Amino acid sequence: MKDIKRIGSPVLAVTTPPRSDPAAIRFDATRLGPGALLLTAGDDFDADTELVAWVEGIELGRVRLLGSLRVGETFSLPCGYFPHVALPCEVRIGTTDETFDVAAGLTLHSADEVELLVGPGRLEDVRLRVVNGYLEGSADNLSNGLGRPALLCRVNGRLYRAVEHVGARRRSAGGARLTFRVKLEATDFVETGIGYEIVQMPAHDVLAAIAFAPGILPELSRGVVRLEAGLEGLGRRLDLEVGKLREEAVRREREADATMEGVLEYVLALAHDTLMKPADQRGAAGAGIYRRIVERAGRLPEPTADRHIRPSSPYFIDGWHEVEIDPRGYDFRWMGLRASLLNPQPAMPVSSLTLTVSATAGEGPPQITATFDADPVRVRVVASANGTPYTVEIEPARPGPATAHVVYLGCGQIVPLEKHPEERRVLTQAVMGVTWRYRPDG
Amino acid sequence: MRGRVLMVAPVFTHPPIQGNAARILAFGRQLKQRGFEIDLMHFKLDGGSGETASAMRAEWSRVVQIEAMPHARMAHPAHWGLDDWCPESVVETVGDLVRASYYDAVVVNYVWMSRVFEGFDGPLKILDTHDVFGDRHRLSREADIDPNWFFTSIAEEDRGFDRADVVIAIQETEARQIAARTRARTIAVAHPVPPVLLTRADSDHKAAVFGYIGSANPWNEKSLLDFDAAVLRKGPVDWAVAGTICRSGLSLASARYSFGIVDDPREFYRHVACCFNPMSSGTGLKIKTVEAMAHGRAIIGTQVAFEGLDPRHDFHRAGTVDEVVDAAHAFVASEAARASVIEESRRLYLIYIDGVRRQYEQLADDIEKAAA
Repeated sequence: MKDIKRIGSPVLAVTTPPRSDPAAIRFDATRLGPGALLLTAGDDFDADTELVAWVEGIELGRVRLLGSLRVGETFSLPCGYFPHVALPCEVRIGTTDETFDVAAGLTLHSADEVELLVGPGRLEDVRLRVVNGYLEGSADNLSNGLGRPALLCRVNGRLYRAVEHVGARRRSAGGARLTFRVKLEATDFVETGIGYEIVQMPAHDVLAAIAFAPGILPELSRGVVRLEAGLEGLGRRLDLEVGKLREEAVRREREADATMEGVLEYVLALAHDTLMKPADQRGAAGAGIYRRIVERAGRLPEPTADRHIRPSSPYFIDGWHEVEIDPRGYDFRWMGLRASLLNPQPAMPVSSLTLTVSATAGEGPPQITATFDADPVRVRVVASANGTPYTVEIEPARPGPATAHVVYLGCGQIVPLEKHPEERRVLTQAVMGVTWRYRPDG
Repeated sequence: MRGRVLMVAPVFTHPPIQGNAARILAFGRQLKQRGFEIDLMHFKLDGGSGETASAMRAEWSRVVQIEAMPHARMAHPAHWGLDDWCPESVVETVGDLVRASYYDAVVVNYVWMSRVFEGFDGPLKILDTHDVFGDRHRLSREADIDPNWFFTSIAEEDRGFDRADVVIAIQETEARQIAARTRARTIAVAHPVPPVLLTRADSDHKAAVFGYIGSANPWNEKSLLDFDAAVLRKGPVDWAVAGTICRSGLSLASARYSFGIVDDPREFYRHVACCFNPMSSGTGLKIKTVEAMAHGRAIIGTQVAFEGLDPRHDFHRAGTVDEVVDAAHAFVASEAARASVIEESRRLYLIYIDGVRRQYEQLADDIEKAAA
């Protein structure tokens, strides 16, 4: 970007009129970058003008372009706002005279792409109310009309519960008004009352809170909530329990398979050894095989408090694309720009969390940032012998086990969207599974 | 029969629940009352149901409908091109219709449908603008509203005006602006609102002292949110809201009651004592201002809300939304203030409706003369 001075930001008011002919400006390609559109010069040109990006005539950002560009050089146009528009949509680049395009339009297909450009946005004017067994909320996202910032609901100051995004509508003054809800559970009513906090991740900012002292809620409404929670919560808990049972069944099946494979292997070895050895030595060979079978069985996983979470688990709560199956038959799930995982046993001290990453969208090993709740952690990436899968070890930054209700994961690298132009989603790492390790003794 | 007119409309005329539908319906009825037979070509950009079509067939001599088509890609990076919303097939259909029938005039609604004029010659080409769309996106940005619906450049809009023989503005101020930009003859023909106050009994039981009825468009939403914020800032106002704006999910902390969408607006007007229109920017005629007066309601509003009406009362010339709230407080506090604004609202309406009658008489004469 030599000879180019980029002046200002999307909100800069430029007072001197541009002097160059907009018709001389030509960018061949437009790409997404973090916080900016990246424009590649399609020709050599001198410019003194203001570039503007729009979607459906709504301004996303503008910047002064002053100087010379050579063919192939890249210029970035910062964008700080995106409206609530239907997808796919086309971002257009022009100058302030608004008459013609100076760069190729860029079609965006997903909210993730928009988030890459302007960030998730921050929620403001959050309003909460309790309706029909749900905590219903609404909030303005003023900077990203398609953004759905990761939210969690903290119940009574300790338990975290997923927040379901219900919808969004365009705000006349820009951005979008989001609606979301959290299912209330009968067990939320404790002797001190009820308290719900809506928390925006990853910073754990408390956006809004609502609380009821004991006795304020009439018994009737408490009963209604309990009944609804009882009915719907029962179904959800059943789903969860079935999911856990299924996970356990698969784990045991695989262990059983491994044991059976071992048995078969040694039975074949027994047959081989027995046949190849002189007849008077065959009894001793059999004893050796028995010992080896016992040794192998002894290496089966010991029952521990660790929890292995499969990609289809409900503990993958936010920021994950749908579960896919790789050619070898293993489940995996692509992570978007950010994602979060619920701790299945939040009451137990966590010693570490391991992610198995089978692929990354970018070059090289995964670069992941993380926090346990809002606390910093150490992240260590270990590659297997042939590169993948990677093992990402996440441990508390301070020595010893830590508590964590949720782990927030971020992508620590630029996502190369142009690597797979046919892919409409924003992908970062493919995660095959997660293992939580605990120290029951603290 | 005095003559035949084809109206080309990209919105349905029945039910007239939107301002533009009410305008097209009233416009056609005014010409019918003056002896013209009206056909309607409805380009179904707004959808519409079978029930809508049967009501329109009962109203107009003939109704031709063309299914909606997607808009063309925006011709310019920051605004629509003049013809992006009017496909060639609509131009051809109207051309065929004109050639197959005899019309004295073809009235096209909206400048972005003016491409239709390119498809025929002969009848008087009348463009009913409804509103101005040149640089509307810039006006929106100045008002902190994301541009929406149709907006284009001044040059593009001028090109559309020049396709017509007669350009109709909905109020005098805009007529003067448009006249300076086109070679076409420009006149103002405002929106006739029947004097419901003469036939409808008032209700003794009010849902709220003040009322606002409006459709869900960004300008209305913005002005109502501004009003809500001003009430919270300056002190309570007892008010209710009605119309499709109730569907926009606005959180209006100070509103006491929501009527929702009312089948008959007369029911809304009967149940409030005074209306308000806090619009701080925008173009066109504020039909809700005239409609409130036609229903015998006092009304309080900004200068923008009364643009083209030549208001005299201070309650009709508020400079800011805060002043609208001040006027509401004064209305409640003072019997004299109530009496004066009621009287002035009625006087303004009578002047307005007499002017509208004259405008339609003139238009009917113009069509007749052109056909002669």
